[in-house]
Amino acid sequence: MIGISSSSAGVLLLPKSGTGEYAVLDVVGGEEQDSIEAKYLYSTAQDWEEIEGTDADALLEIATREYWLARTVSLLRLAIGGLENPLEKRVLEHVEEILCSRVSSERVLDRLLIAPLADPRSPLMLAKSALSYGFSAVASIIEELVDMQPLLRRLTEIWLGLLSPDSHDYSDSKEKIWVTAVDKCGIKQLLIARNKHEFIKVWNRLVFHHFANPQSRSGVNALGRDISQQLFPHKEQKEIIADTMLEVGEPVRRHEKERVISDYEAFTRVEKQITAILQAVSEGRDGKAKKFIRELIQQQTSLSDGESYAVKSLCNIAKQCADMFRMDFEAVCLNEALKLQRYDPWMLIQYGDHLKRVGNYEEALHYFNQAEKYGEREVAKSSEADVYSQQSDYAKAILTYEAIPNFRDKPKILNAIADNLRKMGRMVEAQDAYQKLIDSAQHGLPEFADSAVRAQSGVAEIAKRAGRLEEALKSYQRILEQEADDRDKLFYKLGLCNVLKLMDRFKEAYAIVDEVIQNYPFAMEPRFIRGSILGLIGRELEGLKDLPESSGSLSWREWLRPYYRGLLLLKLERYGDAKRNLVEELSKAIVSGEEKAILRMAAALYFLKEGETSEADGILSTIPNLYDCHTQYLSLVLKLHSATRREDLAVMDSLKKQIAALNIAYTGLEKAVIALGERNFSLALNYETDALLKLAA
Amino acid sequence: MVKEKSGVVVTMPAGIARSLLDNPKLLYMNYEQMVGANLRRPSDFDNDRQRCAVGGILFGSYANYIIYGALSLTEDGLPTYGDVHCRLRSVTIEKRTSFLETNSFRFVSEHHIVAGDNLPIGYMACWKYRHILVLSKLADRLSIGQTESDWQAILISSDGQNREKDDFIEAHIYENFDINAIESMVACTGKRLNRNEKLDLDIAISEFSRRGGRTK
Repeated sequence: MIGISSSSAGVLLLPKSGTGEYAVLDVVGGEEQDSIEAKYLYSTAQDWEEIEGTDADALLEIATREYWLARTVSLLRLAIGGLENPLEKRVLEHVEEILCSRVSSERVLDRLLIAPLADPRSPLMLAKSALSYGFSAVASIIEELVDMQPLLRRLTEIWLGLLSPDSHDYSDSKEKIWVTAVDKCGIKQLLIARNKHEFIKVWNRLVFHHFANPQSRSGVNALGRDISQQLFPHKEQKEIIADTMLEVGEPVRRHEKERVISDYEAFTRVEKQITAILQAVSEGRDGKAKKFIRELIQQQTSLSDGESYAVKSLCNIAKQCADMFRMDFEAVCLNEALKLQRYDPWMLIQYGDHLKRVGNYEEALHYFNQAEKYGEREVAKSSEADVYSQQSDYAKAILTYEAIPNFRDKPKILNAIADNLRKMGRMVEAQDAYQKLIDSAQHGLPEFADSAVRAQSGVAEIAKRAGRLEEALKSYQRILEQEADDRDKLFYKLGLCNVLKLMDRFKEAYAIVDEVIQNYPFAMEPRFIRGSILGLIGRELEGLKDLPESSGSLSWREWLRPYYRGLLLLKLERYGDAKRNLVEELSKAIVSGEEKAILRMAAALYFLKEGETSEADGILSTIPNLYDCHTQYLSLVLKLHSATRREDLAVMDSLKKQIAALNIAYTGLEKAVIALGERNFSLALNYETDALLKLAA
Repeated sequence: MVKEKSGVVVTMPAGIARSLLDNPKLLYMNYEQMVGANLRRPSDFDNDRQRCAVGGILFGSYANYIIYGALSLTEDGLPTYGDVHCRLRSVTIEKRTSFLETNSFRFVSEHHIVAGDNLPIGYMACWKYRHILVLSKLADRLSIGQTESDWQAILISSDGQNREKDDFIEAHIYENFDINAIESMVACTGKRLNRNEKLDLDIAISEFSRRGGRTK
């Protein structure tokens, strides 16, 4: 049965059997309208839609749902645009009521994602207002809308760039395809796709269900492939680089010098250009960023020895894109750099390093081998070992480091070996290795001076893992007094921050990480940590702003985002969203060693919170004994939690003994154990969630 | 006064006014247009048949493109058609609007017009001569000393409940209009609105005013 509905008129036209005519139903009340009244109906244009259902009731249900959805979206858009205060409150209250009973928040969000907001941060004040009135469902949608803006802008830029009339044979207009994608396919699912496969899966659903014509299907299919190619360019890197290598015989084209400019002028101009590029990337305005990059390359290569400057600029941008976890754009920059310096082993290493961080290990090793051939044996070998380390094969990593000639004289290699010993849990050997490095520096060996600070941070990490938090704290404070390099300071400050979190000194931790964010506005990891601290001090919604939805491609260290985000969502009792971040992201995350165990614990916590003990048990059983005492403590508590729910007294007893044997003070988790003893599972879960928020690799 | 000050007011439901403000690209459209000319012709209502027939008699194949309004000296229109009076900017409609001395149903019925008949002369006017149409209809009710509001009461008469009793000069606007064509928005007085309608009305008036439109 087919009916016709209009959300703005609030009516459904139902066919009357055998007459070819329609009855007019009011979708709010479900009643047939008076004949006189019906003829005076008005609507906005463009919202008449044919709907299909099994019978009249089904059609009415669909039309009613659509009416409330359209009403909610319209009201929210007006509220985002700005309403007077008393009216704003009434609108938000009304929307909150609709969200609680009539429409799904996901669908409302999808409709709101029809186009990027002119000012992506503008709705935040509205979210704050909604929260102050207690309208959490509204606040949550608005915050997600803000989170999605960079991703949406990026997708729309790609979309607009792709759809030139001659690029595909579409029988449907681009407007129709976009509107169908927004209305039917769930634009959010497209935005948060983590890889090409996920994107295509969602896109194919759109094609299959909403485009019947084979020509349309084929055109829209090809369009989806083009978009996914631009969103996830990694697989094609090899081809791109191979192409550039083939061109080696060609003379390098130099742009004629436009005019003579001073070094200082060139430097300040480049600095501004880099900031503008990074700003554009952070907002998802990739098209603009690419345009700026082309300009930057053109300007720099027009100078004498310009290629090397351009490559340095591109690598600088690439690095900061990696800090933003925008690995796709990092690839764009590195590809441009490779075009300029095709055989430069450092470029190959940098490219391989990028591939390593996105989990493409085989390709990474290929590039490191290439770099080795071109003369950078030591760094290439060391980078190869880093790959094994990231794959948790620490023994192989150490063997590879040790294969580097004269490695004992190379403090960077010795530090790396010590790091791997620490990750393997061979703490005494690691401590010795670090100490030797520190001693060598103290004996005045100049080549060891730079590595001593790094070794001290290794010692601090060992102290932290052993639960000697005061010692770890002092070590980091000393390091920060000595370290001059700002970039290194960033990492040590984050290390200090993590120690302070474990000590429950959240205010200090917040102050440090907040300062880091001011200095490195494009780096995402400090934001993730700030988000976790906000969660620990009860400002979860604020914390979520630092933990946006996925930025697209996966990468090393990016697991912190869904991990912390999921925990905050769990605290906010948004279980569906929490599950997506904690459980569904688990299998995709690029992690190794104990980080994997931490992620598993977070997934287990989700299942414990949902009362799905067997699922939690399954995950917890895969967690081995851990070297970090805090992580180990938490894993035992979670296992105890599960056993207590099952009333498995023998296991409970054994776990309690293991916890006692750890012999460390951990107030939060001690309280969790007491709560479990009282069968107060909800209180225990609160402590366990906070313990997970305090953990960070 | 009529020549200088009169214009067209379309009265619409508050939800429609709110939608027009939410999305300035949206167009306002009438019943015939929204249900479509052929496939979507609804209902077996006699009145509807009559309306379609009336539209066809008066406008031929253009019937589906006509928006109905009322000639008014003020911002007020006919409260029996909705919750909010929207006076249209004359410049946006004057070249595509004509007037009939009364409601088109009543006109066709009272003059016993059937399909194919020629329309009687002297009851319709284009924009430029609307004041003459007013004079020919209402001359016997006009007298010296009447004010603008007296004239408005003569021009538009409605009890706010029963459309059958409405007396007005009907405006026929060819094709749609959007929010930019609206000059003023005024709430109908004395309406009993439910909570949703009240909210829609308040949003429409507030937003329209915030964007510089005229409200009472």
